[in-house]
Amino acid sequence: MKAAIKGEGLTKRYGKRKALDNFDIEVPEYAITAILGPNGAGKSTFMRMLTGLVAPDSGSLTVLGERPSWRQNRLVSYLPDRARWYQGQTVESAIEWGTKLLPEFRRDTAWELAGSLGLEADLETEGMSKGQEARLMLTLCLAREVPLLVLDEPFSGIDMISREKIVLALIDAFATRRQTVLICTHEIAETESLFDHAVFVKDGRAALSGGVEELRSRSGSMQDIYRSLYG
Amino acid sequence: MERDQFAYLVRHELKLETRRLARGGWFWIYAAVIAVVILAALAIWGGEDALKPDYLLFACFAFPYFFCMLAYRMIKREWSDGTVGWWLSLPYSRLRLLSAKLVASFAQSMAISVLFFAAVAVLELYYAAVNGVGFAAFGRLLEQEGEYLLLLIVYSPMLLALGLLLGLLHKSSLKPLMPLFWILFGLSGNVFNFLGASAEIAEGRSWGLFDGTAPAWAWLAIPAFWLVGAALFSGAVNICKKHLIL
Repeated sequence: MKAAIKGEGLTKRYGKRKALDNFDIEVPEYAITAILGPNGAGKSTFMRMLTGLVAPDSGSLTVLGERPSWRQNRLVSYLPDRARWYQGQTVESAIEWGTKLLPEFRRDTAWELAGSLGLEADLETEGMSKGQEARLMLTLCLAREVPLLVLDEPFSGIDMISREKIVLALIDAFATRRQTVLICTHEIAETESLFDHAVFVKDGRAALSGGVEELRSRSGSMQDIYRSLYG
Repeated sequence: MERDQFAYLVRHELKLETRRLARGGWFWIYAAVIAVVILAALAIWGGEDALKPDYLLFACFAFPYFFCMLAYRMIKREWSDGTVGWWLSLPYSRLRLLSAKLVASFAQSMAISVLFFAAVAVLELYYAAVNGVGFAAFGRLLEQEGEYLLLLIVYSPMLLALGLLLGLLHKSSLKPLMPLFWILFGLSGNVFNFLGASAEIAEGRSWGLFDGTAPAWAWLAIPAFWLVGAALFSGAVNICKKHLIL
């Protein structure tokens, strides 16, 4: 299978600490890949590298055949880690922001998604729960028809109901499109069914990777693998 | 990048800024109280020539510092509001993203300046009408305000670029350089004082550049400000490209 993302020997240091240490990865095209690992494993550093927010100190990385850059971000829909939405905006103005600034943003798709996720047009950011804000940000990402979708902790710190709504929205979205998807999450139990491929990251290295079915047949559920690697 | 996308980015920045003002309820209450006190003071004591509205132009001395902090806050806000990931992953160059902030902060600075000068002019009119001292000074005040506004237009891009640079330095691996740029902030923000404007206001005369008392070469300060501003802006773009810690 062709790789949509290929990283070799990626290393990134923050002071003395190595966030990524000779990290190798291949993300198959048109698959949904999970990047799994505990806090501080280097997952978000890698996700930021994909959009050019962080440059590796050494190693090589290609995204859709090119080096990450602001130009390449035309083809990448990215949900940043620990992101918030702009204060003072409504759902409507957020969708306008996407329409004006994000290439291949589909306004109609955004409104459909917002409706299915229970977001009303005049709902203001200040009045949103964390779950509603997360749903709004996911709406903006899913409304883009681009080859690569990168979601960094889309379920972080939000309630179970919102998580379930988001997972259902993801299942619906992925059923109908040919897109390479990369999701970084801790919520394995609720999202395991989404993934085709998984990469377990430990201390800045890829500790284990492969097709989810193959990993399950070898080592049990993804949660079992997670426990055995990090427990 | 299409022109309308750049214009939208500028509008987006301005909306975020004006939102803060619109929501600052107490700010407007204090502003209204201060305005009432000034109007009352002018009505009661203005006739004795105890209060000169044109002295309010001394507030311009603080404007360059204030404008620098406006630009600084536009950068800081991306981190404090948790939107930096959205901002920097937009498919536009760092030059464009920062240019949008520069243009927005310039527009905001000029709007604040024009509002301030308009308020002082209205105060002068009110003072003249209430105390019956005639309107001769009004024309002179407008001329002075025009000169000050021109100076702010010329000078603010450099301070705004410095504000952007300081905001980005704070989040970069070059943070140890910040004290040097805060010193530059302290020195360069004091441009009105450097150029002797305080004496000119007190004497009721034009600023030196405009009344011919300053040497002709003093006009060279203007392109020098712009060159330094361009260098600072270029530094900000470079930091945004290569040195941010995210």
